Parts: sequence; structure tokens; C-alpha cells
Amino acid sequence: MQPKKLLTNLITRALEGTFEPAICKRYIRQFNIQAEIEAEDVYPLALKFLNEGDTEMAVGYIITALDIDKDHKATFNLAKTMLFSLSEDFDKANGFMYKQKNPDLNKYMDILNKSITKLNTDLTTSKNELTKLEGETGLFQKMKNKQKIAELQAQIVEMSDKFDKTRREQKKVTNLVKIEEYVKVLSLILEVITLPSRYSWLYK
Amino acid sequence: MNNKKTNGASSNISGEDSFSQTMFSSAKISSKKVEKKIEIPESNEPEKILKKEFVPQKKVIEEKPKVVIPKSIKKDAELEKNVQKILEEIPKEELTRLIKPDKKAKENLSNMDFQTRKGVSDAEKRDFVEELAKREPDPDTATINAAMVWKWKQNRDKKKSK
Repeated sequence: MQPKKLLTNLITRALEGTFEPAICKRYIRQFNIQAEIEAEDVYPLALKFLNEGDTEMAVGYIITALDIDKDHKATFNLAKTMLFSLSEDFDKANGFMYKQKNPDLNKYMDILNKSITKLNTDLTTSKNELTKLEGETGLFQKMKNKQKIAELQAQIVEMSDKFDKTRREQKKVTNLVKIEEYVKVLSLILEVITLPSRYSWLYK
Repeated sequence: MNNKKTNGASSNISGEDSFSQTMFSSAKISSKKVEKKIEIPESNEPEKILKKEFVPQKKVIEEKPKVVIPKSIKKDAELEKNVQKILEEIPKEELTRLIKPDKKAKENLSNMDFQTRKGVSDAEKRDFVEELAKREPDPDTATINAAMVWKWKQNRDKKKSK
């Protein structure tokens, strides 16, 4: 028989051993609850936060409930139903298509963020240059700048379009990254319970 | 009345070939069957026939699942009220779909990128999805969870569209 200490907080320990501290911090919380509290009392709190749209808090209470009792069926079922709903969302948002092109969505997100920053800088530079050229006086100077101004104006339109397109893409990928994170956390919680042999390191 | 119907049907079938005769005979059979089920009134008023056909369908749509709210939820009156409200709102087909995920939903889930660790085969991912289905709570809890997850999804969709 396993010592009792090894069987407590299994889910928290599994998360801490799998994910980066920044992710763990979002889901593993030190709730101010009594020592004798049961999973049955924590489960409604997960429902409450789910209803309020606070997914991270809801998952936090799911972890707490299953840390107390990993066989609590209501909480387990809640996590499972959330997981199915999220995978459906991922499919509807063309997540699988994105994953084929970019297996690591976080890396793709970094590329998009860098691209947006660069586009923003280039756009500001071009706009400043245009203002400067348009402000120059003198007939000869104006004639000289005419072609350059037209080029800059076309460039600005093109860059603005690219900027908007990249922002839209960033919004989509941000949503997919969030869904994927929820899925990874929830599936790990459920795997620790359903397939304990895969997590033998937790019992050592 | 039967004669009238038969005459009408025969006027639609012009050819004398065997195919049209077969069609004609099958039309006669089907019209008899319909007569037996619906019991067409003497007056032949279409409104009365429609009423008889649509009344039972309306009852099916209004039917809502009777769910016993668990004690743990009842402790929080506001949550209980919200759960009951959501149970009223959720369409029946959505509820069924969330309680019993279909083949496509299972496929989607097994295709998802699970934990950050590598080396989990496709077969293992499918095993995991099948394993999930084995641990079911009582039907009332499953219904409440499905309804709450449905509402959660609705709220997320609203946030996305903003």
C-alpha cells in the first residue's frame, strides 16, 4: 500500500512536474479552505467560476477537488466535458489546419508578435518621412518630392493592410494557444487519474 | 372518397407502359396506408389535418429534462438558481451531444496535442479517450456539467466576437 503522503496532491504534483512555473501559477492556487473539506464541497466552486467565465479559477478548483479525492466522479466528468468542448472549439477555429503548418503554436505566436512590432515601427517611420516631405516648401523641392511622396503613400497603404492582416491572425492564434493550454492542463489532470502507470514517477 | 383519390392519381399517370403501371399500383398502396394512419375527415379540410399532425411534435420540443440538483450545489442558492436557468435554456440536442460525445468529437480529442511531453502514440491517445467514457457520474450530475459547459462555451464565443 502507498504511504498516504504520496497519494495526496497528485494532480498538483503532476502539473508542477510537467509544465513551466508560469503556467502552473495560473492554475495551482492556494485556496483558503479548511483541512477537512471534501471534494464534494469544492466541485460547486468549480461550477460557479465556470459560470462566471473564469476558466483558470474553475480549473484551479477542479485540481483542488481531485487532489482531495481523485475518484470524485462529478469533478472528473466536469473536466472531461470541458475537454470535449474545447477540442470541438479548436476544430471549429481551424486549429488542426494551423497545427499542420505550425506544429508549435507558441513559436508561431512569437513570430507574429515580432512581425507586428516590426510593421508598426516601419509604418511610423514611413508616416514621419511622408509628413516631412509634404511639409517641404519651394516649387523645385515639391517637384522633386512628388514621386517619392507617391511611393511612400503606396507603401503606407500596403503596410497598413499587412499590419491589419497580421493582427487578425494574431487574434486567431491567441485564441488557439489559450484553448491548447486549457486542453493540455485538463488532459494531464485526467490522464493522471485514468492512466496512472504513465505517471509512476508521481508515486516515488 | 376512395374513388375520387384513385381517379386523381390515375390522371397524373399518362403512359400505359409497365413502369407507370407499377408506379400507379404503388401509389394506390401508399394512399391507403396514409388513410389508415391519419384518418382523413369527411370534409377533407387541410387545416384539420395539419392540426392533427403538428400537435404531438410541439410537445416533444417543450420537453425538458427533469434534473435533481445535488445537495452540494443546493448549498449555494445563487448557483442553484443559475444551474436551473441554464438547464431551461440549453437545447436538448446540445445537451445530448455534450453528455455523449459522438465519434467526431472523440476523434477531435484524440487528435489534440496533449501534454508537452513527447512519445505518446496515436493508439495511446485513442485509449485515453475511450478510458474517459468509462468513468461516468450519475445522469443528473452529467446533465448539470454538460449544461454548465455549454453556457461557458456560449460566454467564450460572446467574448471572442467582441
